[in-house]
Amino acid sequence: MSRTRPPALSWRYALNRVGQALLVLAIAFTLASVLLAILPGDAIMARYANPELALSPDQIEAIRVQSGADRGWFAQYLTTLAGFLTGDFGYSVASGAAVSDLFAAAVPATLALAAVGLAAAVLAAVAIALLATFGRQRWLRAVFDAVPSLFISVPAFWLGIVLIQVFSFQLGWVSVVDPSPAEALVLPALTLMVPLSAPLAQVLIRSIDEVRAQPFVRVTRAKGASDGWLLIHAIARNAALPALTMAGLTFGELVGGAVVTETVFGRTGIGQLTSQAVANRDNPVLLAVVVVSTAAFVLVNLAIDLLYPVIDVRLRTSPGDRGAPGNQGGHSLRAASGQADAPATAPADRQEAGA
Amino acid sequence: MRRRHIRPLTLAAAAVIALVIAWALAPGLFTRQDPNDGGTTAALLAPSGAHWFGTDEIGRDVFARMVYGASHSLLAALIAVGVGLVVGTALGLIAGSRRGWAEDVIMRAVDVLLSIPALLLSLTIVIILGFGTVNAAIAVGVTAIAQFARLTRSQVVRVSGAPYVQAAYGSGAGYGSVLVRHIVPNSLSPVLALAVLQIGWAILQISTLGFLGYGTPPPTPEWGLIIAEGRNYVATSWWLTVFPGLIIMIVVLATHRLGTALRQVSA
Amino acid sequence: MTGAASAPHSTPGAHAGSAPGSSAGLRIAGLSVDYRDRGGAWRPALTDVDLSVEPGAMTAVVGESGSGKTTTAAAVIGLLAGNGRISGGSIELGGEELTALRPAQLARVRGTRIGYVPQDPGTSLNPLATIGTAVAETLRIHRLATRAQARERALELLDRVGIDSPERRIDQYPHELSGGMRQRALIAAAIAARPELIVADEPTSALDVTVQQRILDLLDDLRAEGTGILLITHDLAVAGERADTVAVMQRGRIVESGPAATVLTAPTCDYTRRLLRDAPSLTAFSPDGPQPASPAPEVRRESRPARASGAVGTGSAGRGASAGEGAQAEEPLLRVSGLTQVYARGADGAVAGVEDVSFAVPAGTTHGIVGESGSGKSTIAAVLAGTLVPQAGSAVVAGIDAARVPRTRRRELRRAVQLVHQNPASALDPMWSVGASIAEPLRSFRIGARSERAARVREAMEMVALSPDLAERRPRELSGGQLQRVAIARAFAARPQLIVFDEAVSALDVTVQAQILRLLGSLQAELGLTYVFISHDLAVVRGIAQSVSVLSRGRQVEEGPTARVFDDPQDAYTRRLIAAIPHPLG
Repeated sequence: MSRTRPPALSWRYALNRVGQALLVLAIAFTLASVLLAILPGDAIMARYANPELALSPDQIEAIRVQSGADRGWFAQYLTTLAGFLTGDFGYSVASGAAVSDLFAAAVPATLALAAVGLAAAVLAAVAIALLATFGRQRWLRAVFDAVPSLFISVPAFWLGIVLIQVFSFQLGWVSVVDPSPAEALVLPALTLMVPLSAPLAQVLIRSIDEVRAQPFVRVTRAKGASDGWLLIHAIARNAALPALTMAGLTFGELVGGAVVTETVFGRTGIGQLTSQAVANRDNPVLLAVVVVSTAAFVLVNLAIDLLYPVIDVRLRTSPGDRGAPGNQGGHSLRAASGQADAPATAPADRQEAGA
Repeated sequence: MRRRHIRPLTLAAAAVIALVIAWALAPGLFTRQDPNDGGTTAALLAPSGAHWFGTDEIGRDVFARMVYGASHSLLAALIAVGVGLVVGTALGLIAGSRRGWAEDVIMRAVDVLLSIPALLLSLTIVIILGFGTVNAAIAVGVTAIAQFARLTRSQVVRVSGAPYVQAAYGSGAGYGSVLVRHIVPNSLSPVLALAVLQIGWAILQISTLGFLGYGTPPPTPEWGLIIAEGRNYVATSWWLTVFPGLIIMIVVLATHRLGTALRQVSA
Repeated sequence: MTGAASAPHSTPGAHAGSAPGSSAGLRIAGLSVDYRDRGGAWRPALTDVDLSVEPGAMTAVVGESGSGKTTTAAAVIGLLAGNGRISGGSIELGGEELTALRPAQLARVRGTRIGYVPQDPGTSLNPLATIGTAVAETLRIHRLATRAQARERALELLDRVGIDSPERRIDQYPHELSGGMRQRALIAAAIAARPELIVADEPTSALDVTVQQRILDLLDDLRAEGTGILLITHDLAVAGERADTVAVMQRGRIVESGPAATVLTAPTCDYTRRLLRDAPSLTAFSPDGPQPASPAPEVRRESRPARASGAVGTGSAGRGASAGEGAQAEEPLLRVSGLTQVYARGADGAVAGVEDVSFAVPAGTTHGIVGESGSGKSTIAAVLAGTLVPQAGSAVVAGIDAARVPRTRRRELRRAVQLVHQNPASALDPMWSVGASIAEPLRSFRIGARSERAARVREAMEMVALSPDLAERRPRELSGGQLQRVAIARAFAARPQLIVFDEAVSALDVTVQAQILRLLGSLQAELGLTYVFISHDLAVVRGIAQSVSVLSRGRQVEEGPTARVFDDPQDAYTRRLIAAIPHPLG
């Protein structure tokens, strides 16, 4: 009998997961638009009349009609929803510009910063975790074991300032005045790296320790494997699984980090857009930032979840195979020994017994 | 039972926390300087015996500002963690013990809270409530709800399935009695350990909001705000930012250490 | 029990069966191992251990938990825990001193010259690597084969260890194989580089008895091919049946060693005698027939009050006074009929859960339920305890149908039926003192006045031969045997009519197990209680039960008086199960 999983089941899992993601996204959108657009609706509209914006009465009327402010709240909600689905995020009350235009200008810089920062964070986390677990000396392991909680405790905004102080003003390595694009990226990326790498490193250290305590690692060592072999063939993939989940969850940190970093370094980007929006109470811009980054978070984590069965072969077996109930009170001796945790155990044991 | 050996680092962490609490309760015992009025003191003095952390652009003693700022930062952190702990634990308890549709609704709501990046969620709430210490604290607290709710629910589910809970039913205990006597006490100790860990996190988040200008308004000596003000003199007067940042870091590190130690004991 | 010994055939610490001067095989001499405790002090784990394994022979090291047998295995493969060190003695393999090797040199010995078979096949294979990768890994580590050659060899090895259709299995993952097959794969991996010695650390203790037998047969075959085998086991019967030489360990020392037949029939050491007496498979199947479990001296030693002592025989006569009342009743205390709770149905007719189980238990007697993992035993326990409403059938306990218990009578049922779990450490609230746990049914069922509770807890603890001084302790401060006594005291405190023991002694060492079984026997005689005793261990059930149900794949294949079922099994599965019990004494 073949135990490969019917493809239909994996489709069901995927559809289920996609549905869940869409639901979360819909609720988040509703929540954010109610809080930021609909409740304070008239107050926002009133601010478009600000003479500094120099909007003509026609333009203001166009915004009113487009955002549905002249109709009921549900109509407003639907208009906002339709707008977001078509890429029309409304207008800034601070500048009168279309939010989508502001986004288009800000996104590339933030993407560059986030990509470099995230890559650095992953590299740092792996290095920290390896030194903390496979370091040759006991003190070395202890030191790197403590690094994640140190990193997590550093105020990111302060770190940015200190880095500017040290590398720009004291050492003069990184020019503050008119730096090259690459040069301008170094310190912000470092600032972003520190808080991002901490949770990743923490999870990696814990999962490496956990995997190393597994009996199969001992069995592999009994086959004569060196530390290097163990790391590559037995530990890496198993320990990477929890870290992957954590990487998805740190996406939120990435957005928060971008806000802080761009503010400290005066970089243009989504983060600076956000902090200006809050300072000016520019709700439409903040709404767009919240909705877009939440969507990005949900999509990234959806992608990771869908990718998971590719890496973790155990998830390819359908949960429907599980036979006996696991929670009906004390199970037999085997249940504790890990033999009963595998879905296919029961039928295969029968085969063994009948052989 | 013999108590687990307490490590010196944990003791040091407890000492740091105790000191900061003392700063918050009785700042006058630790400095004679006025945190809000530099008087005739010269501006931008480098650190010295008289002014440990130096003075700022209008002659105020930076150390005094940090000592007096402790009450704001600590109170805000406690409010934030209190909001997260109370609301999150209640939601988690309901979700974990009632199951069914209540669990579905609560856990989806928690998913939503988790999927909005924490800082953006805080900013959204701040923009609605308005700037200020308490509002910033509530905003940070709301972002902590999801974590508390998740942990509490998973603990309740884990403990509810434990053989000793089944055994308690077998011994004739009713649902309410089992919930109060077995499930809640056994579920809560990791949640309390998380609360201690979250205090450090809340201090960081609140100082971040303060730094961005959405928390306590000047001239109140809020920690994040102190760094924001010192930032303008970063090229010449390093002490305005370096010392306050170090203090924040040490305090957060200490709560972290303490929370981790608590978690190990409760595990 | 074994007959009186003639002259001792061996002395503690002797090199059983080793020819002096020969260099083949494994020679352990004067081995001592220390572990560093939390405080930094070195504590001895092994003291002056002498052992040898000849080529083509099997030496078994037998001992209870904490005896040092696993440390011995770890020292041989050079994988002591990080806080362990060899403080003296030598380990020689084929004339080469292993303790003198540097770590990298030792790594070259592991896998190539010593194969290792672990205890728990469930967690001993990398979950993300295929079976083929695991089996051929030794060859790849030591660069003994190319990728293609390794695959060829893995196919051969899988076939060699009796895994069906190796071409398919080689690309499967561990979770797709049964426990027995995983253990075969692990053995295949251990012999991949044709090592001269195999160290097997409890290779069958996580497996069902019928699977255990096949795995032991496989090890036998390897021995016949000239491989030396060091078998670590807690099961004296397995050791006696399979090994050429048996060494008994206690507290880090070898207290007795010699040819298997000698150690089992003429032990010279008290500890060995106690192990032999307490091992259910040895007592229950000794030539004298089943041994009635009787209160043993050491039970009394633990401040047991001198109350009635009784014996559980194979008959139902001769019960205590209160048991007489039950025996008079026409209706048995428990009648299970047509009990069905099917979770899933396999293509081959196997059932996950139970289907159509029926049996009756007269008051004051013990009914055994025997089956392997996945046979549905625990489903029955859940129904009897009233925590699971089955799809069909009834389970009437003292007039209440546990399968369809009305809300109003639920508490009544809970009081009438008490359940004792396999693992007492998880069945007691870790935050409660054990005294409070024992008092819980008193409070919940409002038994006795509040002021009497402390006295009743003391009484219950004395009844299970526990010192009442322990009442204030937390569960983590007590041993496994003590904890199971607490759980039993709690069950008795509710004054139930029926107690269901779900693998209640399976996790305990044999001597502790025997104590608990004797205790249960005397309490039954004293209080006239009815037991349902669920176990995978036929020998234990045979020793304690008057009637027995045999379950296989969710079906009751046989039911009847214990003596009849064991002496004249009607079902093929029952016969296979009985045959799988080790018969060290012939």
